[in-house]
Amino acid sequence: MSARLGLLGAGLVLLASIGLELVYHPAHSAFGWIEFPGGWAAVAAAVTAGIWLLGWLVGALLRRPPAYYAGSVTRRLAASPGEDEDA
Amino acid sequence: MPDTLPWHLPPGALLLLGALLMPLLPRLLAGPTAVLLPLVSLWHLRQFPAEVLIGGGDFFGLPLTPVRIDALALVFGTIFHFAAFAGLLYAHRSQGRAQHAAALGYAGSAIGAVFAGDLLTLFVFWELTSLTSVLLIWVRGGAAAQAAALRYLMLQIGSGLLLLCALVLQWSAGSLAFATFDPATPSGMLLLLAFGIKAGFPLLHTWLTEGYPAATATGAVFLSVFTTKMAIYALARAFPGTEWLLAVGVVMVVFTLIYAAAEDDLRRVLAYGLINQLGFMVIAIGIGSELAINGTAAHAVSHVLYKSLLFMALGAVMLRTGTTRASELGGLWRAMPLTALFCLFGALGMSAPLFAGFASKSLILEAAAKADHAGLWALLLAGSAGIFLVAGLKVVWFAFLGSGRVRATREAPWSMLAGMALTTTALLVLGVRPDLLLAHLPYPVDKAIYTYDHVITQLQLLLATALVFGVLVGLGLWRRPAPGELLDVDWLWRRALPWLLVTGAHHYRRLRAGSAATLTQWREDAQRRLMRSGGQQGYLARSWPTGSMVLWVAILLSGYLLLYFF
Repeated sequence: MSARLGLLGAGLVLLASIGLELVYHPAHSAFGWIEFPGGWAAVAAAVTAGIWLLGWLVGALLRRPPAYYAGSVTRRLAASPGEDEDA
Repeated sequence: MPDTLPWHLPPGALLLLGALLMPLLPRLLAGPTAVLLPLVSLWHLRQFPAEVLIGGGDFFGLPLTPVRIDALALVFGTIFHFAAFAGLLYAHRSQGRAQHAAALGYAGSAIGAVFAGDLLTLFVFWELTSLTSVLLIWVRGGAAAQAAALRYLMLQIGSGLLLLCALVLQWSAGSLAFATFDPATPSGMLLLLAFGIKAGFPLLHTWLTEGYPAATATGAVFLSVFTTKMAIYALARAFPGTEWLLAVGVVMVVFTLIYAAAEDDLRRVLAYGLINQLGFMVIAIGIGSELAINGTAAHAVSHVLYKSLLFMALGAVMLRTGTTRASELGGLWRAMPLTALFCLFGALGMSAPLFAGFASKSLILEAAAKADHAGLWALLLAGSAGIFLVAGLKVVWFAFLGSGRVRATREAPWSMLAGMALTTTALLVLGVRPDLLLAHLPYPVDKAIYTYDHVITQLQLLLATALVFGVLVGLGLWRRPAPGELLDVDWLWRRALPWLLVTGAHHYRRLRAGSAATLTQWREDAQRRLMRSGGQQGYLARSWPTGSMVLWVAILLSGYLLLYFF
């Protein structure tokens, strides 16, 4: 419940900030391409979605079981010395 | 040492002395002494003039400058003292004398390094930070922590060795001054690499992402403060305006966001977030203007505050629940409301208005804009939204909100809460009154921090990030990460290199065994052939008819005559 209220509050303040930009929107020089009212909110939304997607992808590709490093080659060999000699 | 040193001691030496004495103190006295020592040491530092070079001794004929105090060093030295005080207050009740000693020694070494005026003094303190900081990982105990400590130490010592090589080259060139260096020279290259290891440059960063989560609850707080900021100071001192640092910084900002989003261990998430923010500082050093160096120093201060606050909050979680894995946490705000609140302040401290991070980042952004790096400017703004997402919202949500999986029975101890409260206060004071910070930066600042544009831009970035994160979590798309190890470049030396070495050694043994057998076979074959011709029964030992001998002599003489005539 409190999380929903927090989100609602954040949404309202965001709308207020966009409204403020509509009323008073100073001209910018170098970065005008992004500085339409709510432009940075759109950037943040895209960044958030992009990070989530890439994070999910990296997790899916690179996540290994918790004991992944515990079963390293050196430890396996240390646990059974002479295995190679016999081979 | 000359008389110009107050109490005949360089800055930070009191902390080092305290570290040596700590094991001898009674247990009851050790905690309060450790907490008070940074304050005494800070007072000692204030006895020095604001700008001074203090020489003393020589190294094979070259003069040394063990103490150099100026505005840049003072910013780092002062925040290090504050962080040591807050950290030791935080650790006051929960840790023993060994950790107090390690923390004091670590803080004293880092402070000694930022006030070093020559490369030899820098090298000594550089190595001391390695040796003292590794204890904060090692004392946690257990095979995993000790293995992590060993790998951490190897990279730290590697950085020290590179610094030593640069020192020798500089000595042969006739100057040991710790000033600006050209990265194109051999000594400059070595120094850049040495500083880069400790600053968490990409591919050299794994000591950080592996070491910090392996440290004790309080150890990670100290680790988050000193080593990396000392390296940032060294980079700002030696390589301002080195252009390719821009590229390094961009990589640091981008890749860490993705890893932090995927990572399960929240202290490792913070470690990736730490590298991300170091990327901001590295970019500012690459820009190299006065405003950018101001931004680096200011952001180092605010970063020390909010990052140590976040590590403090997760240290408290670790103390009460035994874990910092997002897959095992959640709903802790009911049992630990104050810790949750401080963690939220730490998250907001990164870039929200009224917090120190907002002020310091605005300097770096302004420096990028003024240097006509429009792309960098946009990236840094987007990066500040990204880091708020992964090292702020994600940590707060998965540790303290959402559904609970591990139950914490009670709030953090009072000393931990006091450390967090003190750090939060500093974060807010410097956010509300940024002039207090700007007045102490290396160069004069004539920039207004709270402008309409900047506040609106930052608010939109943070609020939209929070909203989209909330929607993704609400829709069940952004879930708790699955438990497991996320592969990073340390896979190369933790799995690939051992595999290569072991497999290579195995094949070498087989080859050696095989080649020994082959050689024996060849030797026996040669021996058999030799015996066939020259042995007692060999054909050379047989008797031959006289006629055939005469024939062979005639052929040889004819050949000789032919050669003679032609």
